[in-house]
Amino acid sequence: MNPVAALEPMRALSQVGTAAIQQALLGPGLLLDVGLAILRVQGDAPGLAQQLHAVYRNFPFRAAPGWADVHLHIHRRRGLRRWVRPQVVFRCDSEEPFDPFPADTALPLMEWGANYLIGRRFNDSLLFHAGVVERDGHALLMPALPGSGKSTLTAALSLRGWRMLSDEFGALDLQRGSFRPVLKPVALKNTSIDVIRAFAPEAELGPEFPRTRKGRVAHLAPSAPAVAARQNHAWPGAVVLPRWRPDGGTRLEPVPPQLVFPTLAFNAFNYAVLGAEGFRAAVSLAQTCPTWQLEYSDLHDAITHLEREWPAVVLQATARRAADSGHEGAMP
Amino acid sequence: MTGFVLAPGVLTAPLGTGWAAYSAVSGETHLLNDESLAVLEALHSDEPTTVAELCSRLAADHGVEAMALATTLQDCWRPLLEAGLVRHCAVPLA
Repeated sequence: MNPVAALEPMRALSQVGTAAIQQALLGPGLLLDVGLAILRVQGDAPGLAQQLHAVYRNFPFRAAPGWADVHLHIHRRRGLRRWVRPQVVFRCDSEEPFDPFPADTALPLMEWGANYLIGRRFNDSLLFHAGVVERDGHALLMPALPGSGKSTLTAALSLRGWRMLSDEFGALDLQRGSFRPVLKPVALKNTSIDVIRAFAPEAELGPEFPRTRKGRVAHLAPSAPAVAARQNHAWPGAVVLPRWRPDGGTRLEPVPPQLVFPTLAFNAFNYAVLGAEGFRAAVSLAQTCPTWQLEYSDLHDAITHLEREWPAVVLQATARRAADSGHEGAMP
Repeated sequence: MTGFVLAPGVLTAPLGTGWAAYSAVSGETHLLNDESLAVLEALHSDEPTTVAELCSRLAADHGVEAMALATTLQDCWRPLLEAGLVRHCAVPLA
């Protein structure tokens, strides 16, 4: 077991008051262990404590000083901007990589900043721009361009019993050859919010931010079981390239490896940084993982199609790994 | 006389009906067809090879005429050079 996880107190963020979160933000920082990384969040941005309370609700509450991989500071802008159209700024290691955001969008700024830093720093993993969910110990990777329905499908699968690893990063551990969770709230945008509300009225969505740079945004909180399993890896299973088509039916078409590879490699955050190691890892996934293009308009139908294929995916991946390693059933 | 060598640190891998190649020098990745891959596999990084030598080598391996191969491979050189996978090199006179 991860030594950090072993020391975690039992209380989740939802079980402590927002005052305790606010105190942590203003003091030593709130530590959020998202699997791949531990984030330390500090700052006096208005409303951030309430927003974190809502969307990191199932994460353990840790405020004591301790190791963090990424340090995020979300502060109110000083001077006149404190009163006139107030703004918040994101700072990390004394740098401000983004322009300020309106003060009522602290959480989207924090999430954007955290993703930006994770994508630049964690080069012991190949970081695909993808949603990842797991079932039967195997990962379904969903790389896609913005607007393709990646987050919607990731959210929907996670609400139908698949374990969410990430909405944004397919983090392939280059040593172990398995996917690591980068478990953060799913950022749903515009009509995706309504689609998920209709699909699963019980979904734990945080506050809605009507005017971000990406339009209307709301975050889906990762479930308690997904949070509890955020140190558990998943073996590569299959790749799905989602494409939301509002007026079409569901189509699941196989994609050949020569088309999968560029989609994986050239959409990865750090493929160029990793050089030959990244090339070998992306080639291996493209060669071995069955891949489909999924066009969908109905989430229930799309999930039915995927779940029909999944037992064969798991069998194939298990056999492949057994052939590679000479033993079957090892956990990632 | 001018020949060609394989750029150092080139990796290739099969991908379905095509191939991928990675250049450690440029850090770039390219998708290749069968003809371009055959050229890379027939070249060495430490032994300059002329087009005629390469065609003869491939012709012997694949049982086709060297002249016909030269025509087939004609379009491969420029993209391989531009991709940094192959380099021009002087061939020492015998």
